Amino acid sequence: MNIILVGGGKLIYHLAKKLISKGHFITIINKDQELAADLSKDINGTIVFGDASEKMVLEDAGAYKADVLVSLTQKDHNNLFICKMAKKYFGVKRTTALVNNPENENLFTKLGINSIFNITDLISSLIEQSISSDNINNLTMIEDGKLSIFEVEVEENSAAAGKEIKEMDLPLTIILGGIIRNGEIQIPRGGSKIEVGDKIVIISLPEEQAEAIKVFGGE
Amino acid sequence: MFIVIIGSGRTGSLLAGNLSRSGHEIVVVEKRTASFTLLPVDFSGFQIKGDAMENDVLKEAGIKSADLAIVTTGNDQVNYLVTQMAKENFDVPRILVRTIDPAVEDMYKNEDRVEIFSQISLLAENIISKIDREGMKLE
Repeated sequence: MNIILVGGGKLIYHLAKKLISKGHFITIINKDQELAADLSKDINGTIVFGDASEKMVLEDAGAYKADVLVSLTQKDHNNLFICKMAKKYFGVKRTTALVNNPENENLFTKLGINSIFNITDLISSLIEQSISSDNINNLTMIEDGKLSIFEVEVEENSAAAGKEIKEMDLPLTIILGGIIRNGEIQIPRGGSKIEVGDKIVIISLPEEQAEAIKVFGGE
Repeated sequence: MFIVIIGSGRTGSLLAGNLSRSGHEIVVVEKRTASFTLLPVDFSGFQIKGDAMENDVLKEAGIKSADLAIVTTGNDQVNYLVTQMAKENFDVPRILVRTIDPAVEDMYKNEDRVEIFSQISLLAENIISKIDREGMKLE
């Protein structure tokens, strides 16, 4: 595939190397002349020096024959503009933008950007997961972190220990997917009783995760 | 009319002064404090200091109830993002945008509620029409 990458820094360098090794044709656009010159020595692809938000520069980079454009600058307004320009002026089918301000994610999706790296939300949820306690396991994120699936072990001081599920006051956005007891899986029903040592599989929104851990994991 | 003006540079401040003088209710949003000094002394509207690319700043400016937004910062890419925010996030019924690079004009094609003012194209058209009017045609 013909892929255009916009931006600089180590991220672009390693990304380009990786994509090239997989057989893609890479063009990098960077507006720092020195950096562009350095990249051209190290990367086996086309390097264009210029501002990708200018139509002429995108044209020079061969945007009309690109399959994908990825815009990874630090400025959301440039990322949006470059992606939209690639689509409107050159008919690039897939565009990907880095979003620095998490509030822009919905707007960018609405405006037709095909995929979005919401870097702030991504890193913040990773940090939250890494600091949340040891008794949570097997965390999986779905749709770029919009939904998480994880396992919590029921501790002795947990509010849930010894209770039936229907007696518990669970937020509506938390779904129990399974109870693992002595290696056996039970599908939770309202009457299922939670015991100390059970592992509970929980599906929830990332922001409700802490609440779920509090209920089952104990303090 | 309640008008929110984004950008208080030479264009924004001139518009803000004239529109407030003719009785419109004006809020100006500007990132740099120094730029507010360009507003005329008799400007009677409000000034909001902040980055218009943040929803909170636009909210503070009351853009939700604006009849019109005029987006006139000195950066085409910023203007494009702010226009889309005003349109999609705040449902502003009418948006006038300044464009600087003529190559940007087509980015707003088929965009309802949005009208562009391309400073270079307008200037060129004015000059050409003056030449035509005064008969300075090729021999």
